[in-house]
Amino acid sequence: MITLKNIEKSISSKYQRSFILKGVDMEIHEGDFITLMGPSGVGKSTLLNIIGLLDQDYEGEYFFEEQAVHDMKEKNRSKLHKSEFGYIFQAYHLIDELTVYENIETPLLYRNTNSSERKSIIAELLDRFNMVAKKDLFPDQLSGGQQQLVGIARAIAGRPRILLADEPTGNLHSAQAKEIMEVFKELNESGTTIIQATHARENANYGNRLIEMSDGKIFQNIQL
Amino acid sequence: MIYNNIIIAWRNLSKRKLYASINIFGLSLGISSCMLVFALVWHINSFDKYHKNADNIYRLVTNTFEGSREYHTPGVPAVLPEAFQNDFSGIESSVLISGGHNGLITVQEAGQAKYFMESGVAYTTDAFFEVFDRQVESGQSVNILKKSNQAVISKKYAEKLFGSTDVIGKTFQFQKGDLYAVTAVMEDFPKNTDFPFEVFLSYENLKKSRESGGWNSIHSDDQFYLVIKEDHVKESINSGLAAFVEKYLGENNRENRTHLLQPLTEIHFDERYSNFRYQVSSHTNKIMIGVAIFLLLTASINFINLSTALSGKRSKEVGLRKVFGGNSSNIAGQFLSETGIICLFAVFIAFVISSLAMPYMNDFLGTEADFSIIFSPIGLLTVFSIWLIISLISGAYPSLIISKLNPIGAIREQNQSKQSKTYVLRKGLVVFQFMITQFFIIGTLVLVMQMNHLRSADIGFQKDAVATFTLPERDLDKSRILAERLRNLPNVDMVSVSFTEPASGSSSSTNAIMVESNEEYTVHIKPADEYYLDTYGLELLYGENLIKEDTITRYLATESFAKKAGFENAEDLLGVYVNIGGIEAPVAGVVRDFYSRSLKSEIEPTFIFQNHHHFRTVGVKVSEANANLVMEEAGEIFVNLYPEYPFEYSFLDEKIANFYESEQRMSTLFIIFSCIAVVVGCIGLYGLVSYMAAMKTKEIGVRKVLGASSAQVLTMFSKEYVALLLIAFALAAPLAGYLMEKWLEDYASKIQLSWQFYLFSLLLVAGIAFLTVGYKSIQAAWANPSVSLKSE
Repeated sequence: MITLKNIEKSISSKYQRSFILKGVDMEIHEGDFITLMGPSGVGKSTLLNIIGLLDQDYEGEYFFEEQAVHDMKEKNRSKLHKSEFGYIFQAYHLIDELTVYENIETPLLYRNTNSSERKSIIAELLDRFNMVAKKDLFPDQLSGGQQQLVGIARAIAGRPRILLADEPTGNLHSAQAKEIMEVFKELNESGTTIIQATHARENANYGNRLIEMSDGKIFQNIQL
Repeated sequence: MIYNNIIIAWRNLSKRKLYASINIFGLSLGISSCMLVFALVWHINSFDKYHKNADNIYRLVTNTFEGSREYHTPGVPAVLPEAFQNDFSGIESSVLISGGHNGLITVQEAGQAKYFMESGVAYTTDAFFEVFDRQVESGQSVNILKKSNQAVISKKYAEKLFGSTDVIGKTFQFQKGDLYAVTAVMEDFPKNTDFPFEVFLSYENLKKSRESGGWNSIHSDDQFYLVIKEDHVKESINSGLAAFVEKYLGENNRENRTHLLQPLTEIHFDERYSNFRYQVSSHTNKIMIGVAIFLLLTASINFINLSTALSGKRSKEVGLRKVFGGNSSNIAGQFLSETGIICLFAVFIAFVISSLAMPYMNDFLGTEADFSIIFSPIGLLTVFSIWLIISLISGAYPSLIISKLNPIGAIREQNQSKQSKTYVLRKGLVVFQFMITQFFIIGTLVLVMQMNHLRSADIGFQKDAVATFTLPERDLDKSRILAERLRNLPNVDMVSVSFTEPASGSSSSTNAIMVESNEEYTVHIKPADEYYLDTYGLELLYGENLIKEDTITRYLATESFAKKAGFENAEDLLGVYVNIGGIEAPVAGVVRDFYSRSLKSEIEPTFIFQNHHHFRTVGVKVSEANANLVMEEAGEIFVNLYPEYPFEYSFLDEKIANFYESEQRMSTLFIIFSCIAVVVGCIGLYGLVSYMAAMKTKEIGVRKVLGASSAQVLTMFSKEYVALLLIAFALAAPLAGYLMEKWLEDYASKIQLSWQFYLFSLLLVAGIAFLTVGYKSIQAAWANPSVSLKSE
């Protein structure tokens, strides 16, 4: 589904170039649930951003189902981004001024989904995550775990085929974290490709592949 | 989507109520000032534009020269129109209007006489209705002012005189003289005309006496209007005027008289030539527009400044929206619709403010501007464009910058580099705003100081506790009886009958010929009786006062005449024979200089002498304490002698104050507008400083942990603003100084703009800025670092 060839990303300061990613080759298949692991600063988030088309500033080749993303025009890339990817953040990053309902609605608005369809998608998501009673609350009225559930709901509202999660449980305690991972597992089982970056080894057990990174390179690629 | 944008906009506003309300309020102040000025300027500029010939009507005005000085009058000799029509061809139509006649109208009703004082009387001919658009509503439309003793009156006035509009054939008497029959009733004059006549009388009745003066007599109220449609006609007139003057005046053209075609559209603005109503100098007109634009600009900048400062706080939201599929144009659309909505609020509030303020402004300025012009297509279009432009600029700026942010960076709020770029721009805007504020403050200071200067300037005579009124009839004996009776009143110190009070808008000048040397000088003349000096407190420097006499045997001259005529020692002028209007007499006394015209003009050489033919003003000097009471008693005496006339008097000091009325009004208006500008400027500054304090919370926390004192933190804040303030001052001071110097050129006596003055205005702005910035900075400086750092 996704093929990365020799991806490199570096920051040039005055006298030296320091690499964040160096010679990353990677193959992601539809239905994968991949866990990226490694210490802070190893390049996990950067790799996620590149995969998710949020970062264009890299060298190397990126193919998305035979399309050369690295050569793509901004407009097409943004279209691809909109239709295929969903995001989940460590700090949830809900829009503070919007209610639960409206937060989930945001990606649908940008996809020009019509109003009745929006309603049914959101109703289904709210139901699925047991948030129906909370739909009119604002983010700061929710617990961290609940906020992350809204974050997931928002990420999958546009029905993306690939879900990217950067430390999705980093701010949660273990019970909440477990709940989130169960949700991920369910999503994966129903066909969504998931790539998560995490520090927690136990989270990797939910997936089918574990990629360990070190110094901007892929150190180990373990099939679970 | 739009709905979603509106919701977001609303929640953002209510989340930051203080910001939102000052932001909206500031902008609505700016817009409402703009609306008011728009209505006013529209009104001022609409004068006499409604005539179908408006662009083709000209007034023939007269210029004369003495030495290098040019004198202007809107009048022409009464004999000119006929000669003009004979000598120039191609003129569509033309009319002579002799306006400025006020007096007593008498109507006989059932054997009873009813009296009315009316000032809107003019003598003219049928041609008036050809040249100007004024509908004749009933009666014939031709031959209505052709023969003598015909009159046309307005609907309103018909009601007033006769209690109905069916008045054709009814008669009234003017000035106890000729009897006039109403031949037609015309529509009332509109608010925006400089021809506010209620009553037209046949010019035939005036013609003889007016034309007796021949080519040398010009009344400023005898004005000649022409309709010229073709350019070549206009050109042939312009080129033929010199020959025309030469033909009729010949050798008598001692003052180098010239005539000029003045377009009707300039009559309301060109203060060199008066009109039949009031004028607005084109200066004032321009200043008003300038002020409005400046106010709108400063309010908009303010709005842009605050909006952008706030939008900086929303980079996370923008980043998220981009991650979830929003592209740059979605984001830009969101910001634009937000500012559009906020701006719309401001516009609505501005509508309310300005419609409420309009009547006050009209009252205050004595104008009749109509607020409904705002609701006309052009008005609404203007408001709409203002709305659109402000929304676009204040929305475009953040949407351009923020919508381009890298989404991941934006979410982590790592956009310091871009933020600092907007910060520089914002600083630029603050400089601009400071500049406008300083400009207004300097302008206001100059106005106020000049007004004070004029008020306290020595005018050469006593203006307190002197009441004046106009003599209704030119009956010398009657006026002497009146003066005598008034003098006998207790608490009346002195009574004088004269042409005018010492300083008067209407003045008369003529040539004074030195009998010995035969040299000629233009001088002002003030016909007056022997009580004139004492009543008005004029100081006799040398020689003797006037005496009671019916023929002129002596003159009083002012110091400045002595100087002009080359007498270094004014005393030497005593006994010198002077010929004024054919009467030779010696100068008996020299009077200290005084202002003989309005106080805006310079002191002119003046002669005072007994000439009762011109007497029309009575001055009464009363004991100050009960002046009004005394004047009531005076009124009884007056009514006894002149039962037909109402007794109306005014105090000299008020009359003098009226000389500066337009300045007074303008300075008050300016003060109000500069207060608005200052308030708006402060709002912007406050918003910016709050933003800066919020941005630097962490920096301040760290500095304090490292040992910086509150004073050092405060310095950090002030340094920024002092620099901005100085830059703005360097830009504003020369501009304001230059413009105000230009304005001061209109005054013979004026203040000097010294460096102390500029320093004062700088300190004033600095003080205001500090008061605004101070509170927020101190708050930031005193904040507990452990709290401010924790929140990061």
